[in-house]
Amino acid sequence: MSNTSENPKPSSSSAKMTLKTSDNELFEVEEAVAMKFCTVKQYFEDEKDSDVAARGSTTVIPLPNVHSAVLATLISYGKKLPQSNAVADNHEEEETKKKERKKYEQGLLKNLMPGELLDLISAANYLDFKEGLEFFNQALADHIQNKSVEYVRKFFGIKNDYEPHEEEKYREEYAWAFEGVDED
Amino acid sequence: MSIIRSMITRLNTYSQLKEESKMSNSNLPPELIADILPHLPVKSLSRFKCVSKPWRTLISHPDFVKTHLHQAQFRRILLSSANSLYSIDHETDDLAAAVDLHYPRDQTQNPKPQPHAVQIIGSCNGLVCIMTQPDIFFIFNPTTHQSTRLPYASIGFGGSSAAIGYGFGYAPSIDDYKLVKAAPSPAIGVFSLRDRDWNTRSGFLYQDPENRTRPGHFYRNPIQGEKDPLPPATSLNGSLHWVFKLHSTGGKCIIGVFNLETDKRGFMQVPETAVSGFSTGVVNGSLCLMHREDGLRRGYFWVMKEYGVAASWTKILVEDPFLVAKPLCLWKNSKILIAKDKKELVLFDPKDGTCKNFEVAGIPDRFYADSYVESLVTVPVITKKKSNLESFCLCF
Repeated sequence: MSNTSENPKPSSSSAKMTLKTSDNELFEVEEAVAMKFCTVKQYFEDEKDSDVAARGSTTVIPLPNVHSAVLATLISYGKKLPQSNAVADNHEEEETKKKERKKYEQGLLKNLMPGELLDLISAANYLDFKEGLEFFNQALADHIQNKSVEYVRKFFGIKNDYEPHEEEKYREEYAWAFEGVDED
Repeated sequence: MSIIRSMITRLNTYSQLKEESKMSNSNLPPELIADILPHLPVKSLSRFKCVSKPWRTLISHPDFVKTHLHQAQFRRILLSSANSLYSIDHETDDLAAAVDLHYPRDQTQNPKPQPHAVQIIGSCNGLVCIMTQPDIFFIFNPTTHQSTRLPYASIGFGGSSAAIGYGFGYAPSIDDYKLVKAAPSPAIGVFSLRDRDWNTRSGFLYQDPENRTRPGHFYRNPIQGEKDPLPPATSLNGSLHWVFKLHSTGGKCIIGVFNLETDKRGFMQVPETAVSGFSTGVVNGSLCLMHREDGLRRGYFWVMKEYGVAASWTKILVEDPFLVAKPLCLWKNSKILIAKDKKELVLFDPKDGTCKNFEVAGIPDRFYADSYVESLVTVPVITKKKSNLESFCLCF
């Protein structure tokens, strides 16, 4: 892929990118992490085509749909993921890293409000951050898994369009699905 | 996929009419909600069909059922013992427990305990096929509690019922579930769930190419009693697989393959000759075979890494003596759960060949074992008459 006339690829640890959020905060992020946001990757690759010399250091990538608090969390999560350009670990190192990541994930989720999950999912979708989206989708699913129908309606802002008798009939027929549900 | 898109458009229009009661600043658009829901278990999704009619439409849609099936993958162990079925969550962090599982029974069934346990014919995509009494079959989804009884088979076989082999499988290209019934006679009974009826195919399930007048017979494990039912077929990749013993080459065994999509019969080589205690299963999408080494109190676990390629049989020594061991499924992505000698479950570590007893509270003394996934796949109701297709919805 590399052309002899271009600069040799810099090591990932030195290349950084700057992302600007909706509330005008600037985040300096390692290229390896930022590239996990496919929207950013696409933007960067478009820029690279137009100006080879400005690779990484001066470009500020605007993210008008993402708030700083949300981006901070997504970047933090992105850093903990196995880096695609990292040296392959031996099995033991891999297992330790996996355990560390699990611990980090649990800590992260403990401190998040359910509503924040919605913002994170929205932002991860906008940034096309696949691993982040998978993780937060699963986290939200885990959160609502045992909740009542009323809770879910409120949470997602869904209007109930069942007639009362229709709903009652459904609850009777599927009584097994309504057992052991969390109190609202 | 265009059906999903039009549904999402309907959901979208619908969302625009909704009330303002929100718990978050941003309400997720329906496409994003549709990506969260497949992560939920069947029980939650069944309950959430009650959230709204668009949610019910989305969750019931065959495309969603398929996505959910490939995503969620909550697998359970299924045991049959005496007149009971049990379900076990083998990957729970707590102690696993055998939970009584309701299964459909014929109303006219003899209330006295039957001589044989309920036979588990097989399980695919969350549907389980059982034979509660000779020739009485049910297909049911243990998670959604839907079930249907199959019509009587038009094909009957003379001779001992213990000589009849069964198999239940799914044929993806024709989106059909089939139950196969065969004996050493040149006719095979095939029930199609899509057709809701039995049909007969001519020919044997397996014919020895060296001796066409004497077809192979179903392999019967030496420790099995003559009256015990034969192990059912292993279903994989749209085909059913049975182990056959050939008359010709001094007890050589072979795997007979019946393709549910094309009705074609074929065969695959087993890894070695002159072995006993055969048992097949599917683990993590690969065909597996276990057998005992004659005379030696140990065995082998083979996995066919490339389906259909005999040279790809890969063996791992099992450092634990057994008579019959049936591979069931993966456990926490690292070990393999095995049903040993019809009386215990063990965790087999393929890295070093060791086995460890897998403790289950309330596990019955003797049992047949299988596994199933929790799925939303619906079971059509089969009435005695051929019913209208409109009243019937076979989810993919």
